[in-house]
Amino acid sequence: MRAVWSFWTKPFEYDRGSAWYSGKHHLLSWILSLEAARRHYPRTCLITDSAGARMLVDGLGLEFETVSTCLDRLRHCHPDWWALGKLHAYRRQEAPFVHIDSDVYLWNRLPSRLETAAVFAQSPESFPFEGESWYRPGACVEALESGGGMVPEEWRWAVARRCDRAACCGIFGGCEVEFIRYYADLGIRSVEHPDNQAGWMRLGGNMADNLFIEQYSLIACIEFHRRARGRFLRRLNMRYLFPGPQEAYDPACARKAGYTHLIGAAKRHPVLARRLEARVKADFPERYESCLRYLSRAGRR
Amino acid sequence: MLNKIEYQTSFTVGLDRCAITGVEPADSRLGASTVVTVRGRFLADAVDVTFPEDRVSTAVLDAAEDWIRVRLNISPDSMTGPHHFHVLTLRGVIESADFGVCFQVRPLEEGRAPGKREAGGGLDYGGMETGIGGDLL
Repeated sequence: MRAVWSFWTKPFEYDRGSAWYSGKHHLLSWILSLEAARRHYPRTCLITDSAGARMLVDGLGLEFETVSTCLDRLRHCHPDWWALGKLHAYRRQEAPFVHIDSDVYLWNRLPSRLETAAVFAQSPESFPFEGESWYRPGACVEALESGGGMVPEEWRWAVARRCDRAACCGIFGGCEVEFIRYYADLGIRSVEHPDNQAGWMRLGGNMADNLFIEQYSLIACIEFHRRARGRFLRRLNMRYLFPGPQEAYDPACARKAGYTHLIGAAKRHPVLARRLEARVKADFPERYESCLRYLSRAGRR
Repeated sequence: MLNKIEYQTSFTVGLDRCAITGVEPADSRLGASTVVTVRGRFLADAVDVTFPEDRVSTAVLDAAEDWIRVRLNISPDSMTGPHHFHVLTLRGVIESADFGVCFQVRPLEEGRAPGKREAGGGLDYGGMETGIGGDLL
């Protein structure tokens, strides 16, 4: 199984860099994410743009087996759509893979029930369909429809059933790459389709709609195609590393899985930032030094 | 040799030999999100578990020959009482009602507001300041 990371620099430079305690910690996280996973998955791939390759490969010296700068094609896309980089990485896969967010560290190899699954993700999650939530699938579909936009039938179907589930994709992958490419393509086209721009504008800026495109759409596609009994039915088993958010946030369960995800505000937590730096310095001293040199050079420019 | 015959038989078994023998735990409350284990026979190729009453949604977490682990999200406006369910396998649909098995949805606990989520069951990335497995760093 190949380990894949993606890094579209435009959203990072626009806003998302502020998600981290500091720019240094963002780079340290890249070091730890790659080096931890590479022990289990020596075949590694980075999907990025030219600026990302300059930062991570030329600057930091990270050694991926393959590097693609295909995300250069996103230079005209709005940086609010940070999930586009991930979806493009998913769509390029032609063999079983695991996509690992750069704030995820795999201390253990993934269990075989995940490695052999058609599709897998970190953990299922649910939300109040009409209450306060990052997810607003009903509003998204309504806005696109009212603007005469392109709305995937999978989304219509899920919203009609008031589907209130999604999959947290700190890790995401699987063996059924034909389906994964289909699902990723659906999300990309829905964001980029000219007929949808009025609808997305009407919704107003909401970075969390990326979660709808990536995490809600995944469950909508899986459940729709299971019931449609079409070309994907026989192959769509979905597995999770954790059975639910309660277990994911249970330290004992995370320890058993050998899994760390600095999700959300954890990236800015000062104690975790200190631990991250100490860990990289101790376990990967050469990489740590290269990070400091890169920051020093970048500071002089 | 006996093992080989049994092994082959497990691949050729018809839907009529599949069975649902129970569900553990057999009940939960409105608004709950819970993991249950469906017990039975020849369930390894289960791809989905569905409740005809749409207000109970499901996600299959894992499956083996004699069990399926499923997360149930029971909407606060679901119907209380016994619910039969279906197991969708690659060979067809098994109905729990055919085996006298049902899952009970119980009313809300007193004083608990409809729609309120179980602790940790909702989505609040902003409040999850310690992340997942932060102590492993």
